[in-house]
Amino acid sequence: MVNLTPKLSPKGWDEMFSKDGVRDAYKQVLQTLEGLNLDKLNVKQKQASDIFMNQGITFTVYSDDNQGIERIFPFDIIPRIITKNEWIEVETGIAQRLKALNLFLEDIYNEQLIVKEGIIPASLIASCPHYLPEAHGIKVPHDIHVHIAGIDLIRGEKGEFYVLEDNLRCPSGVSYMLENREITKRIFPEMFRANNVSMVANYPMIFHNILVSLSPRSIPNPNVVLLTPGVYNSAYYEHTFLARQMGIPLVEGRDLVVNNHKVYMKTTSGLQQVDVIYRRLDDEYLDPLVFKPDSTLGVPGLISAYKMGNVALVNAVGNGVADDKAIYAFVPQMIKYYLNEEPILKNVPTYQMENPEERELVFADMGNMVIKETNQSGGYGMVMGNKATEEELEAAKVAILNNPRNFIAQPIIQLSTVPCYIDGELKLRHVDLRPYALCGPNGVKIVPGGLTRVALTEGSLVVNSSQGGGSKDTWIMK
Amino acid sequence: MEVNMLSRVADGMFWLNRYMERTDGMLLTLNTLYIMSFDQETNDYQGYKPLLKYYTDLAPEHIAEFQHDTNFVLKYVICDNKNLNSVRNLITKARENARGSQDKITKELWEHINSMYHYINAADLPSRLETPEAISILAKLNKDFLLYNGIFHVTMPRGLGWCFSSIGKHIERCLQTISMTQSYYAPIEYNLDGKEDLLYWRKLLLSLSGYELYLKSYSNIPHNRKVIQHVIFNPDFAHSVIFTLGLIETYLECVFKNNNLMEARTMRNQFGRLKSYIEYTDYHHLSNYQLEQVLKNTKDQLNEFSMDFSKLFFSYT
Amino acid sequence: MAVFNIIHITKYKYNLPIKESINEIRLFPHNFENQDVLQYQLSITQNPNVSYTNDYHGNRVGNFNTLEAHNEMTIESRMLVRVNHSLKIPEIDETKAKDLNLHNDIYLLRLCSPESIEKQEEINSILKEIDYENKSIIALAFDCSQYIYNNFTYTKGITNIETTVDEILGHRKGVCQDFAHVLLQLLRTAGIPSRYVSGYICPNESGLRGEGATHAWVEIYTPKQGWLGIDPTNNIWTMDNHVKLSVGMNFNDCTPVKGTFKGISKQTLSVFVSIGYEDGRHFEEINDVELQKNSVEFELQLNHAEQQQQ
Repeated sequence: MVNLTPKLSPKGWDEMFSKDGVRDAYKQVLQTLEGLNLDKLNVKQKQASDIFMNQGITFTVYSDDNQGIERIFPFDIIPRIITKNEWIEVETGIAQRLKALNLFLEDIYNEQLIVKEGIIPASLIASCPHYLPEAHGIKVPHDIHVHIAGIDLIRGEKGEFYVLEDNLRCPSGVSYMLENREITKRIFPEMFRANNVSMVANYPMIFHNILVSLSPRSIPNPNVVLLTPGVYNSAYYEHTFLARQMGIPLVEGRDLVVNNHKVYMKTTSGLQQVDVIYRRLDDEYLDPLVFKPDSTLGVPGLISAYKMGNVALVNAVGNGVADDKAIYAFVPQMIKYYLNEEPILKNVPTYQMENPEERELVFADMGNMVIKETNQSGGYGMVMGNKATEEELEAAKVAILNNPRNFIAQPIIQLSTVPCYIDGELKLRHVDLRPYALCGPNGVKIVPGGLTRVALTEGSLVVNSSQGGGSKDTWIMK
Repeated sequence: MEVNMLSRVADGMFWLNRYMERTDGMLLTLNTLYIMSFDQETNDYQGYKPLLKYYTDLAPEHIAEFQHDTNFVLKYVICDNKNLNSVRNLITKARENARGSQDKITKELWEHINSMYHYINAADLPSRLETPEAISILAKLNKDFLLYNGIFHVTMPRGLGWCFSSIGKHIERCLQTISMTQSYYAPIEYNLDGKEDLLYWRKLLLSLSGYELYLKSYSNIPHNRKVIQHVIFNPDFAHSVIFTLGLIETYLECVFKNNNLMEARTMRNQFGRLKSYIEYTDYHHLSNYQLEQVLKNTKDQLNEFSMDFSKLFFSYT
Repeated sequence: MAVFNIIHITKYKYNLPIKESINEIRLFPHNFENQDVLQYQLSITQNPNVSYTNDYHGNRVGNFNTLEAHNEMTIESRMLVRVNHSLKIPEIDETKAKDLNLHNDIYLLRLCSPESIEKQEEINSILKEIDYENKSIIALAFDCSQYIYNNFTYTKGITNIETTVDEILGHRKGVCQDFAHVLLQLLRTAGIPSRYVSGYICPNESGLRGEGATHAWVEIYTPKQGWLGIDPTNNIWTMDNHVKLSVGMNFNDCTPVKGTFKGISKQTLSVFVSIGYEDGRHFEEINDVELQKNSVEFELQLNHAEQQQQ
């Protein structure tokens, strides 16, 4: 029997331990872990990483010389637990947010009332690179623009939840939510059974039903496909995983062709019409006739077919305007404006660098700020004020002054920690949480689970896989 | 059975199996010639030439230079990146094809291909091939291919993907058999009445996994004619030309069954002619010249068929 | 008032057959206050099914495709258009750019954000020279147009559809579309919402530049008189000789024919435009358009394909 209780760090919220000891939800887990000796734990850890490697569950990291390296996404064997009450807040909060974001997208690509009424400055939209004029006026099925969202949540010093980012374009990582669960079941069958954990495995079925419901043709078995940029994409594993789980063809752009404003796939017995495309390809690559003319990943004429209502795209085109980091700051206003409700989940305070007063405030306090590029994601284009050198901070200021619309700043929030099994001990590491929300004609559905990402470097607050993050299985208690 | 699949995926599975079959055959030949090279007494004027000539694009003067150089051949054939047809490059290409059609192949198969890929790309493999460990590396690779075929058979669904990959596999196997046969008959000018002994033919037969079966077939025809009967016309031999053509035909039927592409019928006739050509060749009275022609024509026609087949089903770009 | 009979033929030829071609066309004259389309007819090789939608700027867009292999494609559009500008010059209006109240209009805001270019300083100093801060929108637009007319040389053949504003500012030469791009940069920097216009200019006795063919100019937004056309190539407000086809941020938004295809082939494009007056006079122009250079890799593939062909 080992004593795994780590030394608590004085500041911040730890999800397993309060200052009075282990929290109720984690009691059983800690007991199981302490009942095992180190060798057994090490074997389990090895077992988990072998499963990932053998299955080829890898992602590709691209460095400056453009050489991709295949890596596994490190998996920590200790689950992260969210209690039932905590989950209710997360679930209702995300559902509310998605409802508002969908209304916002429908509005901004049609009447633009929220701008005309002065709630969101038009200049912010006009200057957003992801606001696509080409999407203006396109009628999308059931007025749903966001069918799948990955909402990044963090917890502050008192354990309160904040929304850090809304990922409304091609959120990735859901395959890890599902695979992590399968691995926990294999390495800790007893412990898993002893706890009352909500199921996540029906995610592909729920999503598939939504995809089918969006078909423009009312036929019994519409053709739904997953469009991938191809084997070199860093998330290719996830694309194959989801296609397999939903039993839909995994297609590349060159498999599709537009004829008479309808989309077809090229099969061994000729062309077959496609009704719904779950595309994991960014907007600007979708159709070389409309967006990047040199894109070979997309399908020429796709947007025209989409405009005519002959094919559904998931997510809709142009969603980037709603998860732009500067527009993010206005989501609470959107919730009030469209739903006449108070936001359930908090936003992280966000300073617009375009606003000279807010900029001065931030410049005076760079050490406590994180600077983010408004149109970047995945941990790229970020400067952490508390970690950056003087030169880096100065460079950030120059970059901001050159193009203030391109940046926002937020106060650094000490993310909550969850213990991880590292080098034979439990060590506290910072985590975030990305639940996956699905939105169909019958409303928002959030599978009780999510991807917990871990910043594996001690003290680090950056959890992105491209920046050396790992992940944990995430248990929502029933 | 599903009536269609993505052309690109069908293409991927076709080539996955062609590459794997090619590598399998090449390793078998390499293994055979490598083991034989230990036998100092054999008067072996060809050395690795049949292997290098068919499976690599080395120029004739380089083949002459290296055909007795085991060290060079092992590394060049197994893991030289410059050799487009090295085991390493072929497995890499096979894996690329598998990745592109990953949603149609089983998890078990994918994991096995993946592990072969990691093995063949190990950084120390070339240096280990220079040590006595080489023989066990060869054995391990040969086993891995047996396992690949086994996993394929046991786990893969018998749908269109199966048909396309089986057609790829047997086109490749048939071409191998013809080519290896040519490389043992060409040096003796296709002399069916010659007196080459079993030692001479053993290499060909072992390279095609047909030695034991050959020994079991009792008849008193001289080897030079009997080998032809075995590798081309024996319907029970899994590497014979007639057997592989038969399987291709079976899977073609399967592909055509639910397919209403207009060109399908032409394609079926084209293949029918190719198969009848072998079927109705009277091998008892074959002349040397006819043998040369039969081998050459069959190979040409099969290559042509493979191209037309690809054009019909895989033209997605 | 004038009525024009316009024929616009776009012809693509391929030395080897291509397939899966798909095209987007903006060849439809605008119907607006000063312009009536009396007749319109479109014909395309193999008579494909054309779908029509409107884009963000309100232009009519046609979309069609041909799956089968083909060696050429011709798009022929014929139209009878009546143009009727009641005024030769805009009414006097003292509104200045800073008086515009755009804060809740995304469309206009986009049209007054200048492209980011290296030679922005040069743009700023031209504006200073014109004393832009003290001028009304209308006066400023005219002065900018005049500046370009006086300081840039109209020269064919040195620029193409890819030429950037920086390049034009460098050599100060170009054709109508280059002048329009420079004028847009000046006006947007000064805070005036303005857009690119592609269309035809119909020749008259006075000898307008860019005659007898497709033409490009600029429209500025004024709160009282709406969109006003100004033609920097000829230094005039647009009048009965200008037939408007489409508007956008820049040339790219207004490309008359845009398309892709599959196949390895050399492509040639020629454009024929003929404009006839009611009295029977007519003018023609044929342009062999230089297409974008191919990559080395593509050229190699092409050579290979051509050899196989022989």
